[in-house]
Amino acid sequence: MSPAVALAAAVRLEVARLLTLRSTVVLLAAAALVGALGAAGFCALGARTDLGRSGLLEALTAGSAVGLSLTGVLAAVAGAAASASDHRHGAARAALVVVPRRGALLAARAVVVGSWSSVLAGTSLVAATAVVAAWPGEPLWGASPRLAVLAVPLAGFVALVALHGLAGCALASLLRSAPLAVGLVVAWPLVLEPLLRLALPRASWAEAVEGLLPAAAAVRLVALPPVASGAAGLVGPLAAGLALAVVVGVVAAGAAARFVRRDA
Amino acid sequence: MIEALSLTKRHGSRLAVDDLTFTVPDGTATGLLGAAGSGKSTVLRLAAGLDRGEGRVLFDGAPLARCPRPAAAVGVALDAGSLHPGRTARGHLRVLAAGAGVPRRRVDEVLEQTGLTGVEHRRPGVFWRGAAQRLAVAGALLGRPRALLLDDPLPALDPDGRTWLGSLLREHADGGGSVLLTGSRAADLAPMVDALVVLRRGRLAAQGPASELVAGAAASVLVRASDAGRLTAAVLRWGGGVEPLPDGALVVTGLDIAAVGEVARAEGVAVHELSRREADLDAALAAPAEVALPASDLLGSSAVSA
Repeated sequence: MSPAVALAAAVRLEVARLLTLRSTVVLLAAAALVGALGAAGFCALGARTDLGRSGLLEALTAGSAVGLSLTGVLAAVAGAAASASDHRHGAARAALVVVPRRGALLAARAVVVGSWSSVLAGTSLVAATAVVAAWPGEPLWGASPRLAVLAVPLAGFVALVALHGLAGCALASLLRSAPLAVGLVVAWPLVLEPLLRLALPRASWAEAVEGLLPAAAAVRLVALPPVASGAAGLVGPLAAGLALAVVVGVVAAGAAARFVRRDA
Repeated sequence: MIEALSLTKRHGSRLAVDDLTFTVPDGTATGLLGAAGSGKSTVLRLAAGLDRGEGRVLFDGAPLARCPRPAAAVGVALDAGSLHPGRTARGHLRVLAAGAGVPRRRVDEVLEQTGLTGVEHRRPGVFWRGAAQRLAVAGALLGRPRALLLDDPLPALDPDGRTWLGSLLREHADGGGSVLLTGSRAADLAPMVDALVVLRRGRLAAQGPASELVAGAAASVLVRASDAGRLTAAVLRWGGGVEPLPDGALVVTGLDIAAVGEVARAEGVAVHELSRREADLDAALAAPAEVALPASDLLGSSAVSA
């Protein structure tokens, strides 16, 4: 079985896995709900107070640029569940029997989890857009930059959710626990990274490092361009995305090394 | 043809499988027999490429990873109970079919073949063990494989299910395929296979035609005597084998019941009990490791395709 044939077979298998579970539809509905509720919340807030030029972006991304991305957490749950089924339900063994190439299975898992997370992000965006468009008075449109300016942070949002999915998948594989993996994804921006920041010394290099930490990079990835590149120590969306991708890549590499070396 | 060559697997410092070599020729079914923990499942997992170990398993001359279409080379049924609770029987097979590159209509065929058409839309939570086992077999059959590997399929099946599986495996072997299935009871396994490979703590204890191994293992005599040591020495002089049991009794192999009685009388040893032992491979496998396995005497004398 050549690597290309094995990869195609593994992708087919991963897609079939997604399509044969009810939880797939549940996750899609949850992503739409998160998008819609987030948008409704920001629209309601925007009707009472001025949210500034980023109000529309926050509404469309369910607040992903102000901290924890709920759509991202959903993607992390999906990714972690995919990994958890490997050891809880023997999914890795069943897959290896028909596609006996671990590298192909890993690559296919990354492709499908990343793509599926992007679909969740897209669903959330569509639902949020529908709510914002239908909200009486359209309170957020006035101060917002043009859609062309929003395109970069919205693309960043999709990338952020995809990285959340991959992180959930890799962490669950590494830790062998889906709840622990999702817990870590949630706790990182809320607890762990703030603690880490407190531990950093007051120096210029520390400021640069601080901007590249995962939660900070996630915020920059979804921030409007002038904010992201304005002040010293702040990185642009591309650098933020790369920094985040490196962190997820390191975790994924650890998980891959474990999967390749260990018995299935 | 399935060829296992010098298979070795270590779990830390413990040898789970120790330099195991055997062959399952085309057109035959072979049973891998051993007590729990003897290494049977590990052998199958090594064969399927799931476990990392030493040695090789070849299917028609090639390792599984090198087969152009693995599902057409080998069908594997392991972990019958390991099913995603949210996926239906049909969904489970659809996933495997997608990976194996077989058309969806093949899913319907194997559902029919394994008698699962009535439960195809059910989820494992409402399955009975037999259905889960049939589903595992259905998954193994998807790619119309030349070789079948089945891990301990019998305990989950009722008598009808066993008859069905026996017919299925016989048909597969008669069609030129090869079958390797594991089990822990010789009485269950032997009627379904042509040959047995007996494992004891990961090592090859015996191999040969199933009928010969079972018959050979059954030819033992249980004797309780006033002087076990003297009787043991005498039996050994007469060419028999002796397996001492913890309660002081002796299991004599290689001599029939009359011969054992004669030996005891000639030695002047009082016999308190003398009976043909119905012990078979199962009893031998259940015995402690330090006690010699009667069937091990057969190793080499009746080995086939080693």
